[in-house]
Amino acid sequence: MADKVTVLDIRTERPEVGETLLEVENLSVVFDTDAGVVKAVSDASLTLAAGETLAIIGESGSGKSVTAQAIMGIVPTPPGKVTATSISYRGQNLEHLSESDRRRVRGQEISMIFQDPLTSLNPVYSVGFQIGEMFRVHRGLSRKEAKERAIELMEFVRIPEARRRVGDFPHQFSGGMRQRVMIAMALALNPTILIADEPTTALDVTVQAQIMELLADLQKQNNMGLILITHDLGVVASVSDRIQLMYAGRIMEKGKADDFYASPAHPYAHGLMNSVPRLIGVDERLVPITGAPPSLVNVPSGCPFHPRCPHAVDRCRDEVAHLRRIEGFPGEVACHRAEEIRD
Amino acid sequence: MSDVDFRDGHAESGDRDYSTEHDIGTEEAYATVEAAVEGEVEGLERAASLWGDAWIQLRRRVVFWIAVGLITLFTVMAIVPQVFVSPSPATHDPTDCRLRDDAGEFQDRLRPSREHWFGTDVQGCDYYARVIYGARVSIIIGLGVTILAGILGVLLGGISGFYGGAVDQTISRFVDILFAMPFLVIAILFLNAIATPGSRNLGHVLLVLGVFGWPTLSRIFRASVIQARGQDYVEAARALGASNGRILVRHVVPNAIAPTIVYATIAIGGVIAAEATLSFLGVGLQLPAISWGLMINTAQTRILTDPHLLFFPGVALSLTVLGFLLLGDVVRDALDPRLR
Amino acid sequence: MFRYILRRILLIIPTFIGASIIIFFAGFLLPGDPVSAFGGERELPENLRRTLEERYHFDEPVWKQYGFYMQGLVTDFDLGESVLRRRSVNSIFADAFPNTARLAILAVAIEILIGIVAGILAALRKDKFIDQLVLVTTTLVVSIPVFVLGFTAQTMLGVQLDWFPVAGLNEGAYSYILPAFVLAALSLAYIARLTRTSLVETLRADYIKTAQAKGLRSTRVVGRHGLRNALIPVVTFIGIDFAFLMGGAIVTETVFSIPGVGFQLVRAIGQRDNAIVVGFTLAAVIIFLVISLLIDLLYAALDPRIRYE
Repeated sequence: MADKVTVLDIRTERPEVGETLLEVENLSVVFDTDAGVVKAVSDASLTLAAGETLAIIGESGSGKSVTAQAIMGIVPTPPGKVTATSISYRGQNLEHLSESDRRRVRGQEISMIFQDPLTSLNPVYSVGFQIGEMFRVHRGLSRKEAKERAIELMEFVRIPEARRRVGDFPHQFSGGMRQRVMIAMALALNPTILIADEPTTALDVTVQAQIMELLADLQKQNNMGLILITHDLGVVASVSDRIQLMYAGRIMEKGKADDFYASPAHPYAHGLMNSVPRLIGVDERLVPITGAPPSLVNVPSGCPFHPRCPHAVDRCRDEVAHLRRIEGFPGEVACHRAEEIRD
Repeated sequence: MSDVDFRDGHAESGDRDYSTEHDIGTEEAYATVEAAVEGEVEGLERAASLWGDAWIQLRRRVVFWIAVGLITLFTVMAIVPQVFVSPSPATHDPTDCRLRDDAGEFQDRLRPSREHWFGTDVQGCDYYARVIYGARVSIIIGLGVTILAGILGVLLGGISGFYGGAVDQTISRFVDILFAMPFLVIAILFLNAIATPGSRNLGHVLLVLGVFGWPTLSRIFRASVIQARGQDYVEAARALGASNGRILVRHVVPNAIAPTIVYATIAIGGVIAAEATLSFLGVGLQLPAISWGLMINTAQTRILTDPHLLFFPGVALSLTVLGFLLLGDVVRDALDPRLR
Repeated sequence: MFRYILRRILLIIPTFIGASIIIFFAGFLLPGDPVSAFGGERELPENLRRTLEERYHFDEPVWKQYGFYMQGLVTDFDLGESVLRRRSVNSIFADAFPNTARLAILAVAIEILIGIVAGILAALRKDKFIDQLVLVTTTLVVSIPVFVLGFTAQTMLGVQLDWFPVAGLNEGAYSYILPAFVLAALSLAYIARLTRTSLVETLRADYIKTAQAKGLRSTRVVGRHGLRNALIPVVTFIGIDFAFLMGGAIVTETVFSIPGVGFQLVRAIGQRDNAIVVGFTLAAVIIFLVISLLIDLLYAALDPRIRYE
């Protein structure tokens, strides 16, 4: 398998399958804004192992993107403030690193791709420059060498006619090709973790599948840990190993993907499942979740989902529900009434 | 405050799918009608809420009240200058100038004193009174020119942006022509062409500055009209069969006018400075008119020895310009929080 | 690209023709008879008057005069002749222009240096002291009309502190410094604000997040990825400003008695020397059109998204 990835920079000893790469404990992110303090992420924890795909699912404003940015260390501070018991990468607490060491982790060890490849690529530089920049900045390659590496990477992510197109600008590519450029850039230095923030949301449906396939493929080839962030339950169903469901900055449910899709435990997860149309399945009525997602300035007390929850009782309003294991459910769920509801 | 963008997904854009399709069944047709009726209301409501939100923002800002204070001060000064000079009318009439007093002492270019707060000018006129009476010209020119240029700019820019095509090409080329010529030089040229120096008055200055002052306003309004024209609620109104005129008046103008109003407010200050500059160069208003620019022109050769002749009209002029500038700035910020 | 350039050049022609018609006819309407002015106090002999009128086509209708003028301008770049000064407008312009050009170049250099730096500092320290300082200073500078600023600078820095020459060009390059600052002040303030706004907007762009995620130094993120984009509108503004300044700085040259294009223009208007007024104004328009064409091309080169068709 190793000879397949010669395009990628072979530098770090690759982690063994199953080695824990990332451990985030009790992460909270708040933003100080004119409108008040925005609690974007509250008390979220996650782990990621090599070769594993973790899906973080949630609606707009559930805190999933901010979680990713906190792991990357690119939350704008101020107005943001990141606190965590630890954010550790292969046993090393990232928060204790100097800014220059942290920068070395970014892009080389953990890299990230974003939702809209058109706005995420710099419009005034050629794609070759932007991919090559990784080699020039982190590896000190010359402009010419960097360009050659960029072409190889573009071929690697299956962009046709890479050599001819290396000098083209982002706006000259289609949406799918642009996302491939982003992926090439993110994979340039062969990171051990790739965070993909809504990688297919801005793309056509037909292209979405190709990109997901490419990501899954690349992940297998070099044993990366992959964090997939999405609001779309469908996109991640087939590729993810584990899922974490977020709502109003909190993790509501975590567990194996198969278990989650087979029988979700949290009322919010139920609601989500029922509001998604299934392609196969006859005459099912879609049931939207009532109410609107909460404002992060005024997160509801207790369990943030209680105003929209059909099962809510007084306790849900008064007391935050923490993730816990319950009888007969393989994952963890943050719901006071999880047992009763499952029955 | 939009530093932080929490939109993770493209979740909610459900309400924009109606308007443009044509081969549709009854149900969809109802949807189209509803959307259009909503659009009708929306066009005006959007504009109203834009200004409503802006007002809430404005009320809280000190700068806004400073601007309002300055503008009010100079406007009152322009309308009833007597109020400001009333304490001792005998010595504070701007046209009652005397080179010598009864005792035969020279009264020109006196330094500021208790009797003459701002001193006297080369003719021995009370400088305080002249500065106060000078506000009138500036305010009339500032507002008059901006209204004239605003009407021309909105009219031509609106037609240009809304109809496009050959009309747009013609108007845009004409704007290019006016834009390529140095504004001050053209104003001087035409002021000299339409009136001999002796007969030049406020009307001439107002006309020339207004007639040549509209291109920027027209460009700004044209751009906003083109943007507003493509909005969903305009499309919806069009699908309902609203006439061009109705669409323009009810939907496009209310939503496109904001940037033009902001620019026009700032431009008032610019116009006031332009009149003062022309008068200073001796090609604007002529004596016995009272204008701050003209006062500085008259004092020109004495400024190095008697700086108060520059200082007082200069400060009055700058504060007036500042008032409109601050107002425009703060209104723009309130309308577009992204710029803050 | 080639077709874009061609189209841009072709667009200049109608603009120039339109501007030249307006300027020429306004000049024609100006009061004053150049032939009588030639004689000064004395009445001119009839035959001399006739010769002069024929030589300068003053006996022809105005549209024919315009035709002759444009013919001369296009074939020989001839801006006409000042009967009053008995010199060609070209040679008067050639004397005045270098002074204007030096002033303009120095002013633009000041604008770039101080304006852009102030704008960048304000953007990077948004809402902090330096940002507030830049905002307040620029607002004050913009509200002071140039001639007031000029006289104030002249009185305070020239006369009272005696740091700079008060007026004229007797002290060589040093004479230009104070006028250049006065001339630069207004645009400098705009540039500082434009740079600030543009950079603040740019730093919120998605590709800035990407650049950070790539592990680039913050200097590279701001410099390479932020400024490269943020400065595009600033460069355009500076270019247009330069195009105007090269046409003559009427107020500044008048206040500081610098015998440049603007100074001569004001003098010519006072003397009713219409040939100079028309010739200089047209020259300013030509300079403006040519420089703004170059700026357009530069803009297209800076922003690859511009489509050339």
